[in-house]
Amino acid sequence: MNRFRYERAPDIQNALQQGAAPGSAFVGGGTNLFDMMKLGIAQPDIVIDLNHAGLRYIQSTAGGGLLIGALATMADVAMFPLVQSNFPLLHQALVAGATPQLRNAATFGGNLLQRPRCFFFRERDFPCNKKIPGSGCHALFAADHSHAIFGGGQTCIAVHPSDLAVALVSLDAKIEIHNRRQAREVSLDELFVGAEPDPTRETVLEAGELIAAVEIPSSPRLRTAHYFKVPPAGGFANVSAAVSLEMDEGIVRSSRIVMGGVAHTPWRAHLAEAKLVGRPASARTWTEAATAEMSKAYGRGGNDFKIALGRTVLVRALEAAARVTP
Amino acid sequence: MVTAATEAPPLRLVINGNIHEVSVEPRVTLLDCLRDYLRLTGTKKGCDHGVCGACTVIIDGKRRVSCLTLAVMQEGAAIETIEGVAQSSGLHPLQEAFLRHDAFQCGYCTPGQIMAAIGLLREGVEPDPDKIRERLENQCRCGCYTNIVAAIADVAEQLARAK
Repeated sequence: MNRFRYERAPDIQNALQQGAAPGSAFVGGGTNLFDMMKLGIAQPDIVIDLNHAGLRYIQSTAGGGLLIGALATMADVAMFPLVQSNFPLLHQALVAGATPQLRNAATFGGNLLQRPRCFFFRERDFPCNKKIPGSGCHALFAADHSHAIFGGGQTCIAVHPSDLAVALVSLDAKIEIHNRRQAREVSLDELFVGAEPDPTRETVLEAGELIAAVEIPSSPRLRTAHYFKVPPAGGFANVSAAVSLEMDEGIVRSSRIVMGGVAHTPWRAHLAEAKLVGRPASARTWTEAATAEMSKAYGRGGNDFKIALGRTVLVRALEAAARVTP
Repeated sequence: MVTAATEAPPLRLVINGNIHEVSVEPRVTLLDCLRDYLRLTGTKKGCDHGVCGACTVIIDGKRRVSCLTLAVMQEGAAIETIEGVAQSSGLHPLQEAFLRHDAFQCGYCTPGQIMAAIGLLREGVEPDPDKIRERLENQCRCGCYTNIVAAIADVAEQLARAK
């Protein structure tokens, strides 16, 4: 790692002041930042430790939702009794998203801001549009399990690696972003951006901004929402899906389906959702919805397998959700 | 042996109940500090990227990889390493179980496996191999997983009976 100055921020205001310095970076658990720094991809001159800034909390909100400080660890949240009882999707996504050791360090906010796992991005000396726009994308010709099958474009086909992000998009979560001038609320959906026009970013966060908290509203779908990931754990998703259903006497009224491992952002499966409305819960329904969504997928050789896998993941996830949905 | 070159006041780290003062740059990971500066070489460097678990230690009661945190970030924390596991009265039950169940071959991943297992046992786990496997993701290139899990299940069983 490069040499840097280490600072601790005693509160959010101080953190934002320090974060205004060019070449500074915030750190939570450090499980992604130090990984990136060891690879030479990130080279901050100043590292600002947020772990002592009062952002590590988990509260239930009026109405049965959750308010989670961005520096709460993944383990803090996964083991929180209310999360285990009322937010099974969140618990599943957290446990699937990292090893026990990493969960004890990695933060809830930091997990959303982790960088992609694309080989060419992570190899410092490989030209890559995400590192230097215009330098090219090797993955277009050498795609593997870490590359996208949705989203189009020839600029960057890395996938967003976070399981938690997929779950939070499906839960309609909101985040609180702070900068020195103001705090604003952004939906998880709006946090993540595609590779165009700016492939260097995965989120809307500007330099010096930080995520302070995540709010998850209560919803009737919460208790039955389910996360399905291949491989199940111990690695990054090839394909995953966060699925919840609202059913009325065996007929699907609405659904929420978000996929991971398939695009630059968590991927909302609009085509599948549309296919489900008014249909009976059945294998045929799930297959038709899955086929509709995956019909728009494109493979570039090494990631072709994700298309068939995506169909299977969607079908299995819908079956699992239907089993628990009242 | 690496010598430090820093003007900062020395860092105070609490390791296995002992206070160590060490001068390290901020960029020195806890793992490198333990091994290269403090000569506590029981904790091993496997992948150095947080994937394999060989560098697992316990910090404030929680099992964590030491390769992806900085020594400076752990000032004030209670750090436990493999060196602190055996007692003056003898080996830790888990160490005895690892011997009894032949749970290591080359031994390189073993300190990390034991620290991760201690962390797991403190969290609480049933003496069920499948449940233990789900919650222990440390890698073993020699393939001792079956025996590692059996050793941990053995101790989990002892703990359950003692209750």
